[in-house]
Amino acid sequence: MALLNLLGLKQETWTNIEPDLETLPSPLPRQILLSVEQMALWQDQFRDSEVELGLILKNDVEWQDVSVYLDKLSLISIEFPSFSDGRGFSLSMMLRQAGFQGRIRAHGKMIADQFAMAIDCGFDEVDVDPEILKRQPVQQWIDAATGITGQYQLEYHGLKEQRLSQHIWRQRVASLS
Amino acid sequence: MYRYDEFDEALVRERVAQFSSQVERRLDGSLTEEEFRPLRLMNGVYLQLHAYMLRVAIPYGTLSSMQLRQLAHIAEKYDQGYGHFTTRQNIQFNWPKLSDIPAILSDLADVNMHAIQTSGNCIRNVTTDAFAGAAADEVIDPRPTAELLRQWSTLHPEFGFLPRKFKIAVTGSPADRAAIYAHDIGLQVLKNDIGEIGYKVIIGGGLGRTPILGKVIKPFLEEADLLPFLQAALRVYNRFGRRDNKYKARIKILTKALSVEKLLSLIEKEINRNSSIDCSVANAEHLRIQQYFEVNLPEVDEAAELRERVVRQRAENIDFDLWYQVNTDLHKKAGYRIATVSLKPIGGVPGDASAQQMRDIADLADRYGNGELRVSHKQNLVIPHLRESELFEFWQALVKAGLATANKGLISDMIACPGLDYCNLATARSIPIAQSLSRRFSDLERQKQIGPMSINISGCINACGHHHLGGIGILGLEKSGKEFYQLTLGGESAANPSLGEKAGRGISADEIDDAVERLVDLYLDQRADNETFVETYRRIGGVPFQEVLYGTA
Repeated sequence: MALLNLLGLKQETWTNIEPDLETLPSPLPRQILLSVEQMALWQDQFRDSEVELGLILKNDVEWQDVSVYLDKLSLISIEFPSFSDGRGFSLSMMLRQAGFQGRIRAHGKMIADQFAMAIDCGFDEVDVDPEILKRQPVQQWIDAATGITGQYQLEYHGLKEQRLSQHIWRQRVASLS
Repeated sequence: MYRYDEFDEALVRERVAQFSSQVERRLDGSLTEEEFRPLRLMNGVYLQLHAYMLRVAIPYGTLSSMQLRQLAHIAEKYDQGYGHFTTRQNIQFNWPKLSDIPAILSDLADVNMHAIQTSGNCIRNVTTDAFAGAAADEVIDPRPTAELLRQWSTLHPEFGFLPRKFKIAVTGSPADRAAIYAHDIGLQVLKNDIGEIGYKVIIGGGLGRTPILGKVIKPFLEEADLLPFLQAALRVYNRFGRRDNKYKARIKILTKALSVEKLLSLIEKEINRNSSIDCSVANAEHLRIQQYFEVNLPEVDEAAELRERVVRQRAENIDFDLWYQVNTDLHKKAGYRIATVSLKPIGGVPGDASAQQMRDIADLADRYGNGELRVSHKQNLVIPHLRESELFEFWQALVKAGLATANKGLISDMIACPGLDYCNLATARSIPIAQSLSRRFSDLERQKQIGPMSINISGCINACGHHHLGGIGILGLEKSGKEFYQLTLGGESAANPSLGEKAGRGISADEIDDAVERLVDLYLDQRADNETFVETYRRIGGVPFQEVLYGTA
């Protein structure tokens, strides 16, 4: 597992719960990643616990199956089954626009050249496939994320308020007045 | 025309640098060919039969003379001395070496040009009416909208890996010279009853193996709502477009599967999601862009007297008269005229221009037409603002340069894709078909007699020659190693669009010229009043045409 954000590689602290597990492990890890089905089954068991919850999503998940849990989640990890399947970018944007402030992660087959788009669509980090990381080491990811410094699209920049206020369209308007 | 500011220019340069590094990373194995493919496609680099092909963007078909000269330079320095203008207002170079492409991109960036998103599963070049800003029948200039959409769609982080390509066209005239019904989204800028500006939005059109005319999804979308609507539409497409089958992945398939009403409700639900888009900023940019397109053409004094002079010149010179009638169009400003420079010389390759021709046309645009040019959907070049009083001189210069073929919109003004001579998707050759037909119908008087006629030729089912929209469409196929050609009849992309109907079994290449002659002769025989070919076809139906085509009458 190789977790990557804009600062480089970072430690993984989350535990994936096995998909076919019938009961929760004991003792519970502090941060657990569940599938949507597991969440539906066990959500009541976390009501008073200190455990941080995360959700693993397939990129064609129904919105209502996710949106009900947003206020319970610290992390959402969205699958990129193939790098050419860009649905995860929309899903991440929808989560941010719904007000989700936890971490959003991409896992699967994302390639370095998609890192900038991921950040701009609200992803915080990528769990890079080891085979891809071998060919595209960390520096390639960082370079890809910083290669294009400008952006036309208003809503993006990972919705970072500071970058939004400096958006080129705003600058152009300001320079006219 | 729009002028890049530092931001626009920096973005293009950064993309060039990024692509150069992607080429290196392909060569050193960091990127597999499969991973590199969409990255190079998003920079217009195709791998074709004989060589790489570079498709350069000409945003909404608008070029300056300086840019055209640079394209000529690129054709000479890196290619075989010519370029090919496409049905989506771009230009293609067929012979660049992969290792030269970063240098080509840098030369393009020097004149504010690029190859960004001319291919790949992303939003492509937004195309428009080649007569925009000049046509007498135009209600609103569509180009500010096209420029706004160009910016909005460029390197869009959410929509770089769509199910398939996405093509948008905009027109500002009811005449629709932009084929808006044959695009994923087509927009017509218009005014409502109380003079407010908005858009008729058409969705789900497209050609290829399942040709479908788009449906109106919003008869009037307010101007300020355009970006939120498109944003939502693209997101719905990104999420729900099919990804299991490349040939069923366009939004036209999704539209048909869901129905327009259901699609609209999904889009509206998406718009209502808590969006942080600040429409006032987008609208301010739209307004700022408009000033770039305001052409302040000097008033023409004594327009009436000058018109008299042109009338005399036409009476004295038959060839000029023919060219004037066929290749020029009414301008919205008195004393001006729109001129089309045909890139369909008799026996030539449709849409190709040599470096010398490009320079000649650029010079003419400077001398007579305020330096501005357009690429038309039919692969010709247009100089939109010519003084009527200078038309005769202009035409004489065209004649000298061998660019005065007077066939705009006539039978020899054919659309042809590059076909099997160049393209590795092709199943048959298209260029020789066009050349042969062009020679058969070379007589200009006869062409005028036939009148407006579109023959569109595609070398495979992907329909890059837009054959479904031709009065006569020719589709090149292959069976057991032999090329054969299917004809479709009665197609048109104008305000009342229609897809051509299959005429019947395919015919061989050497039967085509005679077949088209029989179809044309039937039309000439049957036409009432001033009917065009398509009008006669619609009136009398396909059966009489099929009968003469196959000799079964």
